[in-house]
Amino acid sequence: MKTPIEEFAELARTRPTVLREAHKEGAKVVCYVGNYAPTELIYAAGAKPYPMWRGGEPEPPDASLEETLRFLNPLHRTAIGLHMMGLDPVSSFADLVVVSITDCHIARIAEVFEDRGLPTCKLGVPSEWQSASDFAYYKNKVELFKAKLEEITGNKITDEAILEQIEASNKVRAALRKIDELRKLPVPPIDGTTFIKLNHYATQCEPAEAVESLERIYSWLLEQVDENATSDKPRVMLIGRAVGIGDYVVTTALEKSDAVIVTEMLDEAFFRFQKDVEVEGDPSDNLCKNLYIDSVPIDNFQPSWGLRYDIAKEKMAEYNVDGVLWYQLLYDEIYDMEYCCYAKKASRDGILFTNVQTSYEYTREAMGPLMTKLETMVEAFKGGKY
Amino acid sequence: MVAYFAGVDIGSTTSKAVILNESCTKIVGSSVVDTMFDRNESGEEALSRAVEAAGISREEVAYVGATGYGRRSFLAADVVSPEVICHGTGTEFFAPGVRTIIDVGGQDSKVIECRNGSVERFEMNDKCAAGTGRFFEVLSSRLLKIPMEELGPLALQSTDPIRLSSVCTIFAESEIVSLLSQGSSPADICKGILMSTEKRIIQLARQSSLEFYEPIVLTGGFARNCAAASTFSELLGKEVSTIDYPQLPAAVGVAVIAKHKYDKDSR
Repeated sequence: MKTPIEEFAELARTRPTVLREAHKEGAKVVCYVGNYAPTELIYAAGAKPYPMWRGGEPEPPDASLEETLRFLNPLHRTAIGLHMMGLDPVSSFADLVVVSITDCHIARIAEVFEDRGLPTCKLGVPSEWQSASDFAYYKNKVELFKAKLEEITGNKITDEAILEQIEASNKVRAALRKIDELRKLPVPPIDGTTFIKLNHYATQCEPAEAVESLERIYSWLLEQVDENATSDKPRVMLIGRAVGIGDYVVTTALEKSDAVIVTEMLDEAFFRFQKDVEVEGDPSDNLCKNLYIDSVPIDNFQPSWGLRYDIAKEKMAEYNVDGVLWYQLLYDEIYDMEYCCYAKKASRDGILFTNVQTSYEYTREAMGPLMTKLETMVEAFKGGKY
Repeated sequence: MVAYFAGVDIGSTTSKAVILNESCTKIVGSSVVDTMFDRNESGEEALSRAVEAAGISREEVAYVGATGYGRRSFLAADVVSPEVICHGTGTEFFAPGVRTIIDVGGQDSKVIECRNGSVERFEMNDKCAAGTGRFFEVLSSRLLKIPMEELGPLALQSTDPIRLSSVCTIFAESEIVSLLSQGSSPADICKGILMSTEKRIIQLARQSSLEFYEPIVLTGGFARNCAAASTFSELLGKEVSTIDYPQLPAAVGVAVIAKHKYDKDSR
């Protein structure tokens, strides 16, 4: 018999087929890259969203080299490569691909997609997130995206429809938060890799399906909680740009090395669930505010590094974290720089902090150093004891 | 019956084995062999030779520990441990009180901050040969066509080390070919490559805020180059020493860990 988690995984796995069928029957499908295009607007237009967040396989980044530079991170090269190889399950029939342009890596995806004739909407996300003018710019871009959605679907997006979708997505957020709370227990009933997968499944499914699945998973997890249990496994916080859908090698290896990821701070390829979208006031504005101002500022927002470090420290205390793993995508230079700053601050603050870099090449030769690093990290987090 | 403890370190280039006496205070046998494709076989080969060198039988070895990239492939292991942890324990065996270990192996380099043999923080290279023994080997031994053991004395003769502008092994190779054609001396080239390799390692560690607390010990196959430790000293402005068997600390460390496991299991 399948567990509720396996059932949810199956639902997510079959979603592209469902979308293909829906598309044949006239539904519009909108793929999205990045995290700043509100999916609530897509649903409110009567279309179906699907994330292009895959990662973890070496072939797609390699395939992308015909169209792009090697010096792009593997997550974004994967989006390009999968499309070029004809292996992206949805983008080949998508009516629109919206790309949230937060930096030069992700911008390149939009350029390549446009060049290859995909209907592409560039949604500019300026970096000075605390300035009124940048927020206005972002809101304007979201309005243009909204107009594009109305154009392709032929449906007017009403405030009522947006509000309905906000309420639906807030239920997903609440369901994820409930499960996330369980991770604060001394022995969490769910590991970090599985939690990240649940987050990914939630973005692939309809909100109502996701809520139903997550509620069942929560009840199932509650049954497994032993409040008296203790564990000496180090509790790890994961920080990085993204763990792509399917990119679970490092997190799995870490957790198999006797640690548990209890919280994470990921900028992309992750549904942000910590704060609900407000329901009072203009719904479009509320969506923008939630994504742009109320969420943890991403690495290349200005200013952000100091604040992000403080937020990470708060989370470390909240989740009783023993150490931090910085998950670095190869050639993702902004994150590399932020890591250096974090490492210095963490050293001063006595926080155990290390990084692992991935190019998505998990060959035998690559796994050796990776496992050494992860296993040593776990031992160091335990206090160097053996 | 006197029990012995064995440690086997199956690295990317060489496999090392040591046999320690019952109290783990003395190395009674050791070996270093080239790592073959079959990592288990490499470990077995190293262990057999170390047992032979110790003049004991395999049955006298109470517990065997395995470390290095091939540790999981070594079927005879009673305990496995990642090599960074073993380096901490093993280097403390050779150099009590060590605070920083710079270990440069064939495939990777590591800088480890430790206290009483316990690893506190560490950094190691990722996805790049620059700053590893392989970088030095490819650029010096192969290009200059001089045996590895002669590169150290040669580097010590340098008066004006060359400056490599690239950290990429491939581009640096072209740069060196060009320098050779311009008449740069092999001694200056050799010292320049050594400095380039070591600067890369220092940068890597400093990016992660490692402080190079003293005493600093250089280990790994790279430490066999007699100019390596003194070059690190020049670059860091701190005393860097090496040990008698720079390739053995991880094997020694995992042998000590094997004894701890043996004692625990015997209770």
